[in-house]
Amino acid sequence: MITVEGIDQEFVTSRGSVHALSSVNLSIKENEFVTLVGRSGCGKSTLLRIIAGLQTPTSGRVSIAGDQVLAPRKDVSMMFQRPALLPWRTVVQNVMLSAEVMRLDRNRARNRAQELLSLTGLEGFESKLPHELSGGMQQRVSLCRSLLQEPSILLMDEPFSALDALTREELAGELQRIVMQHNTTIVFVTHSIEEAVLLADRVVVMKARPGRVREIVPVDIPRPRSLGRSAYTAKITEVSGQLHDLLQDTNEGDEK
Amino acid sequence: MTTPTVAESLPNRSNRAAAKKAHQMARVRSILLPLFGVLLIFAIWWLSIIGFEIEKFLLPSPADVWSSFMLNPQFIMVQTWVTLVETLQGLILAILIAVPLATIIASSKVVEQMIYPLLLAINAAPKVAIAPLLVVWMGFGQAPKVVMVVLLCFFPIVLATTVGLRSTPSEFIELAKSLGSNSLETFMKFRAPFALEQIFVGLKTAISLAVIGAVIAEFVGANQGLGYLIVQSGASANTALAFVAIVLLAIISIVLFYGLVLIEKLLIPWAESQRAK
Repeated sequence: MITVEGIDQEFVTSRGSVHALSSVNLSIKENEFVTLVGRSGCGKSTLLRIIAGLQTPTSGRVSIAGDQVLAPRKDVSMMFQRPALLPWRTVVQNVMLSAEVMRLDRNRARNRAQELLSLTGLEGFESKLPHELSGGMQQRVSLCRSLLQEPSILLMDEPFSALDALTREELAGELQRIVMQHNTTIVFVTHSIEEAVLLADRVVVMKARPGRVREIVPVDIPRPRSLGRSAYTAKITEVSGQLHDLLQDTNEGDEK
Repeated sequence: MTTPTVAESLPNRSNRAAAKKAHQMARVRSILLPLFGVLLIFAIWWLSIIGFEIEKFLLPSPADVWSSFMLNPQFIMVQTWVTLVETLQGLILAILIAVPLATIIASSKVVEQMIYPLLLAINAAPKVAIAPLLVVWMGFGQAPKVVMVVLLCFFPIVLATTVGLRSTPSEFIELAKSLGSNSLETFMKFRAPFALEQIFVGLKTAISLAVIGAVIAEFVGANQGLGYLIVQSGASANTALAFVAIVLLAIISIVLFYGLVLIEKLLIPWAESQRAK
């Protein structure tokens, strides 16, 4: 579905150049849930923006379903760290924003917005303004907006990192539930090992300076997963430990 | 603001009543305190005239000012109206020029580099020096006054609008891009609404400058308006009448300022609720 080939990204600033990504190769299958994990500065967000078509790489190419990505695509939607809700629009108007900009069929979009809002437990809040909602609810609205266009690929840039631990886990659970109902390929950037294990089919561990792929860890645990007690607690702990060691390692590499 | 956020649990009744009472108290205070401040100044004014035996033509007492106004209230109100109209005409014209100009500046680096130094130069030129020229070019009518108001208040509006249009939070620009929004749509749906808050900051600065502009122009060449009234009262050593004009100018400024605040609250109610967070 998504093929990343030999991506190199260099940022030139007045204080010299930064090598953000170095020969990154990655192949993501359809309906796969992939998380990109790494410390800050490992280029995981940059990679996501390149896949989204928001950033042109210095060299290399990204293709989706065989077409090279040169600009944002309609079947790819992006969710950000901050909810990015327009403060003057109500919840439902914010969700409908993508429909307006992308010129989708109004009535159909409205029905779908309603459906998504009830799916994420936002029924009854349609006409509230963003500032009247809690952080978790705002991010739910943002999720609804990015799902409105029925994307085949959803790119998520640390979407839950500003939330408290419990809300984060709750939203991760909801995301799994929603994703299982739709056919969506997801690339999810995070710095949380828990989140990575909870959500991913495969975890891509990245290393900093220059940003590159260190290892790809498959997570073979049935869904829905939870951090609470379950038959798979041991397995979850094991994978978490493995990721932890890999990330620790990258830290030592940095200090050299 | 008054609607409880969903994040809150349901507060019990007595809590809510107490909160409401506190809110009302704050409201009453916000009206009473400024009034008290004005009264205090009046008292000091009056007492110092009595205490230091200041002559009436140097500093009239509040009572002298009031009786000077009551001598011919209709005439004075007409002068006030003239100045008010000049101020508003100038301000509206300034907005009509400044906002489109700022839009161009904010969207093009080339235009910015070309125009900005010129704007700065125009802004730096002492406007009082231009006032007599305006009379030469446009005569004694309304036109030079309106132009002077525009000259004084268009710069802060340009500045604020440019800053406002540029300060759209980056995640919204990214969002617009990822949705494939064109630049007109990005402007209308994201940049312009976000700029409103800054534009109002500029307008609040501009509005007091607008009143000053009208008065300056009236000083130089006019046969009506509050500025004209001040010049006339100075010539005849009628200090009390000059004070009437000054007080009325202050009232115009205050009324226009709070009028703007009201419009801002109606137009962008979300701005305040965000600040409160």
